[in-house]
Amino acid sequence: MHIPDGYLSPQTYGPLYGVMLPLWYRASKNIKRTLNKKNMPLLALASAFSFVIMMFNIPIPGGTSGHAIGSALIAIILGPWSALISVTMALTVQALVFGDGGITALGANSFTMAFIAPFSAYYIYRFIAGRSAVFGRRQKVGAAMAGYISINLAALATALILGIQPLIATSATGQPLYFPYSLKVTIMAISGAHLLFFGVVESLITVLVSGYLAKSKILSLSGPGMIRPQVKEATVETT
Amino acid sequence: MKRRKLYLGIIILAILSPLGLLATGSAWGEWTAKQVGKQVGFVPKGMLALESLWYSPLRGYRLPGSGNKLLHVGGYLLSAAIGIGLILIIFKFLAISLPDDQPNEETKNDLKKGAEHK
Repeated sequence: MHIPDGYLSPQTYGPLYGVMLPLWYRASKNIKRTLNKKNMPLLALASAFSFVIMMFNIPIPGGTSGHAIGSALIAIILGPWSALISVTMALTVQALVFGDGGITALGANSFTMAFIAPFSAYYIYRFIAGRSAVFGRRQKVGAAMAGYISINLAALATALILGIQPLIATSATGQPLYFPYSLKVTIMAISGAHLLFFGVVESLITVLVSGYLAKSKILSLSGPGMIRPQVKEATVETT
Repeated sequence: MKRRKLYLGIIILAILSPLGLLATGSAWGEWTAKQVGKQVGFVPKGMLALESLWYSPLRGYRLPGSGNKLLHVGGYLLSAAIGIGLILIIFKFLAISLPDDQPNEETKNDLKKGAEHK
């Protein structure tokens, strides 16, 4: 899902940077308001988790591969704004140091993986699981659905962004200047792979890790996106 | 401190990360301009122009010029370590501007709630 440099026309990656700038700004404001030095490492850990989980390439039939993102898990535990920051940071390091995803496409990649994925996951989880602090069956179903649906929404957005390239940027002779495959092809390939495989992986990671973190009380969970690392058992019991 | 377990989890994931190399195929739609050219019969001009805009030192999570398998695994491990290390360091710097210890708005409310409960 990491769009490289050269795949997107400037009239695509420009506006997507434009969309992301206010979101990054708002996220950083939000974090300044809700975090302090003590719980900032959680954000760093979440970012590192997203970075490393994306290194686990999974081969699928057809000779290609892909991976989970971890956005849904982070959104459920730390909230969507924290997820936006931590996944963006992972994507930035991937692009700058490892050439995974382009510099010009960083806005686009953040839009799909650090915005669409965590925000959809967060609201899907809240809708299904409610605000209860207990990690019971509803929470599990919510986490599983959030993982599956959110990565698929991100995949679909990626497919749309790539697939519109031959429609909006062609040379004088009508040859595509950037990514040449049509919408039909990109949607079939990218959404197909995520609906069948990577969605399941993201779903499993989301439900298993959030369940483990809740059960083991490594973190005190008080409903989605509401970890209070400072007040340990108190929130679990009171809410 | 239980948070140590989280760091341990990340370290374990980093050590296991070369499992990701078992997948030999690249992700769909993450090819070079040349590869795309082979597939569709022409190299899109814009792709060629922009593709090498940025030089990534560890492109593809590989050490430059590491042909053999063992070096590839080593490069992947090193990449995981560097990536995670960089992220932790960047957040450390970002944390400088944050308040030390005092609970922020929301945790303050929670602390109050917790106290009432007791």
